[in-house]
Amino acid sequence: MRIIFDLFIIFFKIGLFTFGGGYAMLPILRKDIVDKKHWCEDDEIIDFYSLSQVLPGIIAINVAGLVGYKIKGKIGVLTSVAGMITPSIIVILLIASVMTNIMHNEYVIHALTGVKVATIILILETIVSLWKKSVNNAFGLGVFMASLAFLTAFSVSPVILIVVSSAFGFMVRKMEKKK
Amino acid sequence: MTLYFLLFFEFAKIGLFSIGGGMAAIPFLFELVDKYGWFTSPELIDMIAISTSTPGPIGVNMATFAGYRAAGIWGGVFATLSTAVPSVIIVMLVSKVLHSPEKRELFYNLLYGVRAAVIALIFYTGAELASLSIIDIKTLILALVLAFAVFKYKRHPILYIVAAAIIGVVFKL
Repeated sequence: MRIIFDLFIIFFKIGLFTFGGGYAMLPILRKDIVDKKHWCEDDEIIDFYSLSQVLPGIIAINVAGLVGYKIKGKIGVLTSVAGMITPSIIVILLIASVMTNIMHNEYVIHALTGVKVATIILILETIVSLWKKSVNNAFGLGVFMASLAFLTAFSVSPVILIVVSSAFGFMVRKMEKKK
Repeated sequence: MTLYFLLFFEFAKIGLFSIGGGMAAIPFLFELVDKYGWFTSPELIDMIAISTSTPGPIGVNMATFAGYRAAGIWGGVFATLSTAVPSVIIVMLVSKVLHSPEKRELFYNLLYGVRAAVIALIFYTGAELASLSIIDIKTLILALVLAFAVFKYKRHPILYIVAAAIIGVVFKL
């Protein structure tokens, strides 16, 4: 019961303090799930992101569900997804019904500018922490550079990027095995 | 009743087909404008803008918003749950395979090359955000101060987010 409660609260916090979904939630997710609770490893979180990116559905919900399953099976999926979507429902319904002008409020605009800058720095810190674990050999570095080049030059879709890098990685693993 | 059935059908569809992020849902939402008239195109553009700058995943926010416009508060709740349904089912199916010992090796090999690609994706997203948000001397100074604090003290991310919001208001960023 305690775990279910914690899981809901963690994803509720993520839903409430993440602006922009997807990757913006990664810093809080890592802090709470990996550093504090030790429920997952960094590698697993990255793998959950990879899968979420190519599976149908909203990325943030998929990641929440995959983490939830790891911790508490099907109940975990329902709990983490419920935690993730509850803040959105509350905040958006408030804005849509009674606080219709809040997004034009001067203070809100200033606060959001600050929050966006914080999100960028937190993402940067996350990349630095994950770098050693995920880009740990020449192959990884090659994939990173190539991915970045394709993203910047051709705005290639993330789905295609993941499918292609998966195929490359798979071949490399097979070749390593044959040796 | 029919309205709720339509909401479920449309938002479950959006949840199922928006592969690769919230923005993928936008064309589906524009389709709803012509099909049902729950909201107009200018209203939808406004809803998308609000959904990107409020807490929570953009796709989820847009579902709540659109559902509210179509059928009030319960419409908002119902549309949001409908968008999450496909994810929940798919995640349960995939997780079962993912955590089975005999498939472990296969998944490891399939995801081997993807980790570095995901780091590149995160980097690219961060760089795009930076080019939109670090726009003047004030935001640049905030970025530098935050970078120093984040890398030196490693406190909880929420602390930095709240601090940055307060700094934003105080210094009129």
